[in-house]
Amino acid sequence: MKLRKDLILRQVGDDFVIVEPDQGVMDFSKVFTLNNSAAWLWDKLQGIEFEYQDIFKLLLEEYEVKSNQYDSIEEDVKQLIADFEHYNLIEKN
Amino acid sequence: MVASESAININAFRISNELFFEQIIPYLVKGQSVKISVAGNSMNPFLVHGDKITLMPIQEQDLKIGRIILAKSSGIYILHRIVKLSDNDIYLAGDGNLAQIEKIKKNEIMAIAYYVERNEKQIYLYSKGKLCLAKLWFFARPFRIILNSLLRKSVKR
Repeated sequence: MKLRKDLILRQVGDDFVIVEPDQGVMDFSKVFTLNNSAAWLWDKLQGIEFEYQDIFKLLLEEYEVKSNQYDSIEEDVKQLIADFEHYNLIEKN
Repeated sequence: MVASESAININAFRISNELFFEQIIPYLVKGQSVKISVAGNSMNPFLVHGDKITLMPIQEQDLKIGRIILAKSSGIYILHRIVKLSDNDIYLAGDGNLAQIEKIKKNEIMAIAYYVERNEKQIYLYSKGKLCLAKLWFFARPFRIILNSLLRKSVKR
């Protein structure tokens, strides 16, 4: 899968938000807020084709993760991908 | 990662007006349109809290009485209606406000709104009927002040 490239992530104050252009109009009435790690991942996944394992790997590289935490990270990644899909942030083929 | 809360949320974006409009202005300057949610009730009943409006860059010919514009007045962003034009100044009033009028300069105008989206319907803001109602509503200010104070008194009792 691939992130939609028309979406723009920006930092506003302490928040990370994604703004969606709708037929050329930037829609600020519907913005997505990302927490720090989601925003970091969003940046890393920009423009690349990725799968579930790639996100998992990125997180392991970035964060110190103990092996007993793998399960909860797995959950997080699943949730994140579900969110990407739910909010229609993934490019459609 | 935070397991307890979702990493992505929608519409949970609460920031100051100032910061919000700082995000929007660059798009307008580039000539792009932006859609925003109306916050507050100063444009009641023509625009109400939660309505969505599309802001567009403004042209000289848009400067007419009755137009709803975004402007920066004394450092504060307002979305109000033009009620009077003079050679140098533009006078704005919030439809919902009873007495206040803002005097601004041309270069303080940022954008104009043409359409409002309410209940999934797009409504043109400047049909003859709408403009006429808005004018009546504005000239009814003295009566609205009286009505307002009467209502307040009756509520107190």
